[in-house]
Amino acid sequence: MPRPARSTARFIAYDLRPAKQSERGILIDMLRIGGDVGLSLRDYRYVGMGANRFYDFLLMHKYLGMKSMVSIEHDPDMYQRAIYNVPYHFIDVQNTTVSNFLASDESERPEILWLDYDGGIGPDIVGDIASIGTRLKVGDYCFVTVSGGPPRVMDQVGDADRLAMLQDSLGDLAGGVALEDVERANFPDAVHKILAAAFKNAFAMRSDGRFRPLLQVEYADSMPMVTVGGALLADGTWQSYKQRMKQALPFLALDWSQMYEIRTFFLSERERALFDRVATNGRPRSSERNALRKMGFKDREFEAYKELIRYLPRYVETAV
Amino acid sequence: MAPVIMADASPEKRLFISLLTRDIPLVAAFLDLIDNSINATVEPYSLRLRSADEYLAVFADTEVSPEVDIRIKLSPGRVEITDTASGISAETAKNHVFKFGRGDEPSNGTDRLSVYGIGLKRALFKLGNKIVMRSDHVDGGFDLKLDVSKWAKSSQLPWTFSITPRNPVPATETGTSIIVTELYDQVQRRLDDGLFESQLRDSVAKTYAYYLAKFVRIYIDDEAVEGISIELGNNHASEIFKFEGVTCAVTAGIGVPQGGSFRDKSAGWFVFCNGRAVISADKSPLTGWGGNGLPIFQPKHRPFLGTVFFVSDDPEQLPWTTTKSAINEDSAVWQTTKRHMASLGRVVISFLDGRYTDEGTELASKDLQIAMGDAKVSLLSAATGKQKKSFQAPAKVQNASVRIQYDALVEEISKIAKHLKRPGMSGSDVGRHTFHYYLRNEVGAE
Repeated sequence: MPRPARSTARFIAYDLRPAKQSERGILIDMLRIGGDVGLSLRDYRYVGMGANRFYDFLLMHKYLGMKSMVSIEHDPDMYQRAIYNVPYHFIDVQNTTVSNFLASDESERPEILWLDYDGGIGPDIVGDIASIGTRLKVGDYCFVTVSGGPPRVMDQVGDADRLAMLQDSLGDLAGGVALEDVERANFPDAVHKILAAAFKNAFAMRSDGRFRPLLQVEYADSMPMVTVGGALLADGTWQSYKQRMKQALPFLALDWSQMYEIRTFFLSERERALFDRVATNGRPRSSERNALRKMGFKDREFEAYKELIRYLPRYVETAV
Repeated sequence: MAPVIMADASPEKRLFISLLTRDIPLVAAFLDLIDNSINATVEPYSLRLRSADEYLAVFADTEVSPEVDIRIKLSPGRVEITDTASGISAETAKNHVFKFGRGDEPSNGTDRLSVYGIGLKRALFKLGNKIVMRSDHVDGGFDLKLDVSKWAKSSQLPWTFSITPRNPVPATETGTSIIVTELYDQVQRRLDDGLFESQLRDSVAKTYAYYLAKFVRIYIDDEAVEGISIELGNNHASEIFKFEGVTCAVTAGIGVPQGGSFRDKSAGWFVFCNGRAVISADKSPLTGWGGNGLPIFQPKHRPFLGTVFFVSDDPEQLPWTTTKSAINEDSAVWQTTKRHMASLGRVVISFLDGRYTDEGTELASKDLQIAMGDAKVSLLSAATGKQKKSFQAPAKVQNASVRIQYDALVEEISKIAKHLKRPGMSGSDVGRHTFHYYLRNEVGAE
């Protein structure tokens, strides 16, 4: 039997990932809209992969009031650490894989699934999405996060070989991937196309609701990552949801066409104070804007910052 | 004598539509529409497309290049297909195009991909309820607006569609457009399933590789489709024969690896009828695998590539089914060809089988390079070669090394690794080390 992949929490400093933290903030805002359109989120169960820090679990409880949670941990060693670190009594940490969980779990509760995988895109992940297509109830959410880089076996080969390997391992789901998508710099686009196709296909025959894309983002703290997901919604709910999404999160696409890039800003505290003022000022000319321009910052950076201003974390050093 | 009573045996439209559309996959319905456009496009070349080698000659003719665009647009609730071919005259539309079947008329000798006279109607009925068709022709075209559900309810005989004539246009402005709306629910779901468009693109690339190279450009949602290019080594077996008015060219050899390996989608048999691929990369009993002269297809047979190229100026003689996406297995042409396929393919398969020992170990990888020959040729030129040729299986290349495998207790391997002061040594490293130790110290070899 192949040895299961080791949890990336062993070697990635998850407490210093500004883009990931922004993603979590966007996700929470997007879920809150669900509450506004009538979904009773505090009654939902959250299924995620909390590793040993459980950041998303903390946010789900703090901001959405959820009290039923499952954390899936496939790495037996990390499982012991997860048990030790679990912050709330109501989080059920299970030492299993996503596919085993999906095959064995039976829950009647409405759910939010965030499957935050350790590795790159592959048949297991699209297989899990196919299973989710028959599992989700109307009103449920599902998001999948995977590495935006080529899987290890495809890492050292040329683009044409990489495309051939991708098509061989994923079949028709990789049919929309073009040669330029598999170039290393563009690989997140390939991952997005595959995940979008997998979600569309998984839910294509559902007649009780349609799976609507709500979050399609790429970001890179230490390595490129892609998240794609949404909710299975009845048409009426979707109309209200869509309207509110356009107002609250206008930068997110509500069809499958594109991803939003969560940019990372490398700013000093003083520069950031200027960015804050420029983003909230709105005037095309201001002393702060001119000062930043003189330092070489571009208007597109102000726009990107403005979109993310509510979500960008501030890190400070403390001595505990 | 009792009077003769005429029992009602008239067709019922809804059943007829259901029977017609049930057995055709959605992708094949789109291909049916493309077939019509291509058939019109190649009509002027029909006298040059009567045998396999004539197809090759046209393929090699640099004067022939794509002139017609076929565009498919898929959008929510709507499918549109347009072409810039010669269009359909009002006269042809009135008497032939919308008739279900050809009747007793003999083949006109110019059709290449139009066979039974049902493809267009079947494709339209498959897609949706509202159909708007417009064709411009040098002799005057026509407009058609059809509400299928209303048409199906009417019991008027004979069955007719109402068309409106259009004025003649110059040859540069001819063409046909079809817009289908009120798509059926299962069609819309399939179009939205995340796979359909790429499956359609893939099928178009495979099915019309020949026509895409010489006659038409096909666009799906404004993106051009490129025909697939499959090549095989010039060391291949080939044979050409004629049976009941159909020319059959069969080829079997070793494919050219793509991306460093022999891919499953390029392995097996490819069958063409009048230049249109009917089945691709087939590894099933249909083409003889697992019983009719060839073994059950296994991964070790992936280098195998076989082609069958059927040509006839009466397309009804070809062994395709009415959907053109499958073979009529009972056709005498097919059954005869299948025997030739087994006979040619067997030599290649037996070479591929011989590359493995009884334990399944691959003997050598260089031999495949040798077996392919010193050059590669396109699938089409191999399929249409005039000369009978046989595959020359190369002599077995014996590897200078063999793989040794045996079981050992983990505990004992650890003991050796510890003894060598290298506790992280793998089992195979321990095996290699002990082998070399024995060779050096007991045998005395370097």
